[in-house]
Amino acid sequence: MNSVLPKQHVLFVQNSIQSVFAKTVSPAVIIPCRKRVYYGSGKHKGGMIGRYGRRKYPPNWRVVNFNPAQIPKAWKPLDWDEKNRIDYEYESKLAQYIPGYKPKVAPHMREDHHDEPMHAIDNDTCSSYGFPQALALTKSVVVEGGLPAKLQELQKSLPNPEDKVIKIMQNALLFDVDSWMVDTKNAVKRYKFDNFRHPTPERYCPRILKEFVRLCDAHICRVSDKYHDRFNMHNLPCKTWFQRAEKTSENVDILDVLYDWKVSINVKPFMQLLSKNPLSLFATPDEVEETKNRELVSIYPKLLIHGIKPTHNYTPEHTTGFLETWHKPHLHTVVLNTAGDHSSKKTMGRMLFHLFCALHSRAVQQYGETPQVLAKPLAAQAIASDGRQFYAMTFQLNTTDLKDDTGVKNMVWTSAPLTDNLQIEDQYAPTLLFDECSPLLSYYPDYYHGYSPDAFATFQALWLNDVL
Amino acid sequence: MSVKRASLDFTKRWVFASPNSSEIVSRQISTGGYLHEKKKAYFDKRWMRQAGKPLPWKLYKEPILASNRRKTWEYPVSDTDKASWKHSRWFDQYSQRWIPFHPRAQGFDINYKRKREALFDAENLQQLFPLLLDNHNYKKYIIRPFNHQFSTTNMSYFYQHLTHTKYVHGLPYQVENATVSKEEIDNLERVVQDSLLYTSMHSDENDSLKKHEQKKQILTRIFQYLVSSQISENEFLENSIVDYDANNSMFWFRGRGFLKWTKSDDLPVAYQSHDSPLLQIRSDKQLSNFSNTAGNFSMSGEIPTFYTTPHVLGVPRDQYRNSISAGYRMFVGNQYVNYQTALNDERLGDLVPPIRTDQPYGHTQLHLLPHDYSRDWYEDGMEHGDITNEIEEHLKANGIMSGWVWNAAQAHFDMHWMDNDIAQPYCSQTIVTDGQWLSFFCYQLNTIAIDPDNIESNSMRNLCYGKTSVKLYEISPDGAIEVNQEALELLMKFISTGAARHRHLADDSEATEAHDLTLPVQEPDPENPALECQKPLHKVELEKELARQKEEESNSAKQLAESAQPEEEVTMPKRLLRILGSKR
Repeated sequence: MNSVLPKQHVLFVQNSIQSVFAKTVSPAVIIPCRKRVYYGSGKHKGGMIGRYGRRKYPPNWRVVNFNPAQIPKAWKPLDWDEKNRIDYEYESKLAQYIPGYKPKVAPHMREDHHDEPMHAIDNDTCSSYGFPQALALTKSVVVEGGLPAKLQELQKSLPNPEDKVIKIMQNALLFDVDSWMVDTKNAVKRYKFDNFRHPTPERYCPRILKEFVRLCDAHICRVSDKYHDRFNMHNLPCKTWFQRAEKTSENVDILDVLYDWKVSINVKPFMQLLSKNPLSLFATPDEVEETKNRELVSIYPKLLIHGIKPTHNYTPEHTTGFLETWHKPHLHTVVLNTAGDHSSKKTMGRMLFHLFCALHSRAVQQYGETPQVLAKPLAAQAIASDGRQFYAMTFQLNTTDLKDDTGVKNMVWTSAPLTDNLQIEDQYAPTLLFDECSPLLSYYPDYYHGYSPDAFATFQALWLNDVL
Repeated sequence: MSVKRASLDFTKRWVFASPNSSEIVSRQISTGGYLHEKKKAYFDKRWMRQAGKPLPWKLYKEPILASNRRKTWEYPVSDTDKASWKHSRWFDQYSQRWIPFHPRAQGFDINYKRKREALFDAENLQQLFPLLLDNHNYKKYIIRPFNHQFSTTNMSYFYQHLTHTKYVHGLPYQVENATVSKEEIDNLERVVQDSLLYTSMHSDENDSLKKHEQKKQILTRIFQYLVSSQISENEFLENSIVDYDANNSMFWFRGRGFLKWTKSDDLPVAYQSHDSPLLQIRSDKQLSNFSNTAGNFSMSGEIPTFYTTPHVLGVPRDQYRNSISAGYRMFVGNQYVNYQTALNDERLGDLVPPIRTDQPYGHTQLHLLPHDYSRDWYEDGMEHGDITNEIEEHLKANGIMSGWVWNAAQAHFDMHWMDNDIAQPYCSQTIVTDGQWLSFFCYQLNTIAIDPDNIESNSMRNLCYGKTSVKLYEISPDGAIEVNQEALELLMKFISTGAARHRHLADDSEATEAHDLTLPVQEPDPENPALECQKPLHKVELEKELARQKEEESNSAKQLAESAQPEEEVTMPKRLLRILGSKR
């Protein structure tokens, strides 16, 4: 509509001098001021707008310019640092005289302070490094040819109840009412209630995943009695750390740059399927031996720990999230809710970090902290989804010796096809459950299109692996 | 002499969108329905002022008939709907807003039966709900299904009155006599044991929110197992859907009372309730009746009535949007926006009708009580005296209200309202729990015509069967977990309701009737109708128990007195007796 606005004579405050020279002025520059959106400035202005007549506050806070003076974001008062400086000596004095006072301690004086820094990968940050860096950091190589042959067979052989999957999809995306949007406390505006809001991935993704799990479990209950050998857990924390060194010819000796780091991973997967028996391995010992000949992915000129922040305050520990007396300790499948990830590269990196963390902590519990090639490798699977895109990955931990780039390497299989060029963004093609599913699709009779049965087939194959 | 005449351009009346209208509409959608940004409409031309008037039939007969012709995109959503006869709304170019074609609500008043007859003209839910809900913009009472701050005793009686429900102690015939195999129970016990073992390892007694999250996990896991294990047995679960964090709402009228100073003081009183179950299972088939509707049981029995305003019971009153919802959208397909996009694309012929959900009927819902609920809170303390008697009352009230909200909302989704009562009862089951104690309820909705205009000629009562406070497990100080077999059995029976192996139980009407007559019914005391004077079953039983104990004590004391030798009477002076008398 702005393009259609009529030409105006005297409109501006700041540009009034310029308007003398320019005969016709078009409103190209819009002066930021509150009045553009603030209708109810005078007592009688604004008329009957909304339910309560004249509007006291601007209706749309997104449009309001709260910073008309363009003050930069990093600005702070001159005395800010001075006022917020913590006097640690005074704190210790306070603790001496006030019983029960918890003094603020300087980071280098805390109990968990170490001289050697640890590069910490967090649950929130583990998706920000990307798949190639995750491969290089965990000393893993990708096995070409998609998922292991056993899983590919399962994908084809298992029955796929398509109509039930479509019902689940429709119920999550079309018929679901987000309880957050329902007005129960006189808080939601009328227009919000009336207009259709598309459900968010945070709402529909866990719902679809839970329903898929239910479908698969129903299949297990129908076919065998192995349901009780497995246990599904939500949000179970998992922690590990390891030492990684990079010794390649590309390294240049620069002052103060080390090529030997401590790295810690601390994750909390959305769902973890634990089982009584370990998952059968995906690679034979010969194939494991062959990985000696393969080279790791190079992310040159980046360092391996590029972007991972070092900390001096940490407690090195390996935890699987439960006690050793727990009778179903082996990891079967990790299911991740990746509604926040924006690229496939990041999602794959997140999956690899989760798998590595869970398996590495178990390997350390079994074989001790000394880095070694494992006598019996460990295997696990991962599924990541944002409700629409589905990724599958399997991982085999062959070695915990990450101090050297040569030797036996860990192995990764993915459902997404790979190419040699790892620098391209979004080259991993996920399996889409649907292309679009919305009540605003006017021409599709069931309000979705582009449904593919492969997404559930992959999910089912991974979930039912080693059960039937 | 030429006569100057205003050019009457009536063609504009029939143009729905100009070439640049797509821009306008898209802007409307993106601003989320702000209409006040529009330019003010100035009707400075005569033809503009006359644009809203009905057209003369003689001149415009053909276009009017053309507009009345039914379009291909207008289909009925369900069997109960009639086909819509014309566009639901159209875009006015001059005032730049949508003008709806809902059935005319001339003289419509939701408060009087004769003035709300326009509800019968509604063709689908999109027309019914605006008429039913948006015409009551006054204060209403907000009823919480679980309310442990209820100010007086006997809350379940009050909720019985609000929902016109007959409360029955015990479970219906088809649930009570359902058979459960030993193997199923053992398998369920293993699942419960496993999940409890895990949480006992990771428990923090001080963090109630963390404990609440763990309870959620345990219960969802148990229910997921129940559903997935019974799918092959029970055809009701075959195509079922589980809703997590749904929100059920119900809006209804009950009793008469004061509404506003400017209105008459005997208008129906409005109530609104919002209910949020942890999860609910809904199915494509309707559960068969728990009791016979034709029999005497659904039509007899006294429902408590209270003529006081709920104000005095501390029920809050608020004015906001009225809503009815069973936790899901009944049908999908945004008619207005889709119609506009199809109009812009010139593909009106390809426009598809809305679709309806396949799982509209409830099977079972599970309620987790709030994180600050504890049975210990009811004991004697600084805040209040001993009110442990009220635990049962609060649970019963929760079962009644949750059942009413869910079932009545389903009935409204099927195009029923107070004047258009249901023909077939709606049945569903409710489980209320705090993680350890389970309460089981079966609700049968026989009528929704309980507003003051219809209640006098209505002989039907809603039914709520209930069994409260069954312990699921007990953890001994050593850490050993004992799971209660009765609770497991009840859980299994509830989830297998409707299974083919129990069909004969549901069909056996004589046995059902006989079973119902054996169950105790909660009825008000006719002599003392006040809420505080009622005596629910558990209080009567407790009093009997106390009386029995007292009798035993007195009997034993008598026996002791008889067996003991009589004491010698001590003679004392009168003055001494007066001093010691109070102590003796």
